[in-house]
Amino acid sequence: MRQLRLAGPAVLAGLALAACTTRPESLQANDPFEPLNRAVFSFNAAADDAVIAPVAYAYRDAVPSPARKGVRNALRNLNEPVVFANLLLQGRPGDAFATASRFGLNTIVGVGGLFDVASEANIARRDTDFGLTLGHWGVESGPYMVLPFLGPSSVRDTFGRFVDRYPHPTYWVEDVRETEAIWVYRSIFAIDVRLQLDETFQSLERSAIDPYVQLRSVYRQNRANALETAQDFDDLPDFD
Amino acid sequence: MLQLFRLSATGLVAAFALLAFAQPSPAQSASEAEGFVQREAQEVINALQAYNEGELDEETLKRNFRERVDLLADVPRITNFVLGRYRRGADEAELEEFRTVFREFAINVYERELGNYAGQTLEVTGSVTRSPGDFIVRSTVRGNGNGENVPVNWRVMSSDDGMKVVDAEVMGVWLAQTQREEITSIIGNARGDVSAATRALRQRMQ
Repeated sequence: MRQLRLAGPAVLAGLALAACTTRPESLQANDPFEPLNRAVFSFNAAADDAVIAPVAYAYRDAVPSPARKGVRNALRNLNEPVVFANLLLQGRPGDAFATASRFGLNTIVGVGGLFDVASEANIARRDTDFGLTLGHWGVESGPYMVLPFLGPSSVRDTFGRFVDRYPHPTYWVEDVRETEAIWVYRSIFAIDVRLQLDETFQSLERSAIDPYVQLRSVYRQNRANALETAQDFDDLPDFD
Repeated sequence: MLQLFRLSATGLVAAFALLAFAQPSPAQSASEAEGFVQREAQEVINALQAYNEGELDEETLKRNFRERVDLLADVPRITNFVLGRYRRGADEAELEEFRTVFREFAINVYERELGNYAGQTLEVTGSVTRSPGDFIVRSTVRGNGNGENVPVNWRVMSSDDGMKVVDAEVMGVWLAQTQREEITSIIGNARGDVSAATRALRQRMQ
């Protein structure tokens, strides 16, 4: 039995090693798990075609736009404590205060976050996460990863995603955290995110030469932008 | 001797004058880059709008669009850029074939992507000078009524034919940079064979 327990991690380690590549292009792109990532990417694309996109479109067709907007507002409002905590950790107290104000205003006046009254009061939404907090602290992104159902990520951002569960209100309430309610929340969240990304998905499909590499590039550029490392245009490549 | 001195002096003055006019100050060039983007990018958007409104047939639109793209973008420079290190040492015939196919692919992509902005207004909001002859022009594409405003940055570089766009950034993503990653990945997977990228492009255009 003990041998069996030892064999499990050894098999997993072997699979991970087998999924590694020594191809220079992959290593240069900091994507040593490219073969495994490509397999997960194909799985995600198939799952999107078969289930996720049809469910998202059915939701879009069945639920009127104002109601969908309310759901999106409420989901964003639930995430404000995560943003607040990360802004504090990034040393941005002004933005953290604005985020706390948004959360209070939208929860109380905006009926639990269904209405974004804070934006109407000119308190703009900030967005950040623990992956970006680590980036602000100087932690490198690490190798690129594609997560099942969740899509593009990196070692740093995957760890950040795990940490971000803790300041989220759904984690505070045991009745939500420990029951099927958390899966209801996650399903609604996934459908809403899928609809937000619909135009991006279509654009990727139209313009991609290699959809896997394109998504990797888009993800990285977006994260660099969010870290504000790309704002001054100093790191752009030479053209000659 | 005096005449020689006069000629030399005249030559020097002429050379200085040429330098002064040929290399305007970065501020002047940045404003030229802004004007260039405002004029040429808006013309491309207008051409697509005319097609959408039925003022132009598809053939005329495509012809107009291609002419406009050549005025706006430095497609040969972009083609060399997307090949990355594989441009050096590749077979010239393969490179030429790649250039032809990539140009067709790129123009199709520009046409489709810029088509989303048809009927909208481009407003230049400022610029950054990276180095002499290398500028970032910031702009916002404003939707007419229901559309959202989209920030678009243009990388404009000086060339023998004047200023040309070499890359565009929409919502944080640079188009040519992304295409280079895709092309070099395909060529890398094919052990440096440029024709693998040509085949992939042809396949995507079918």
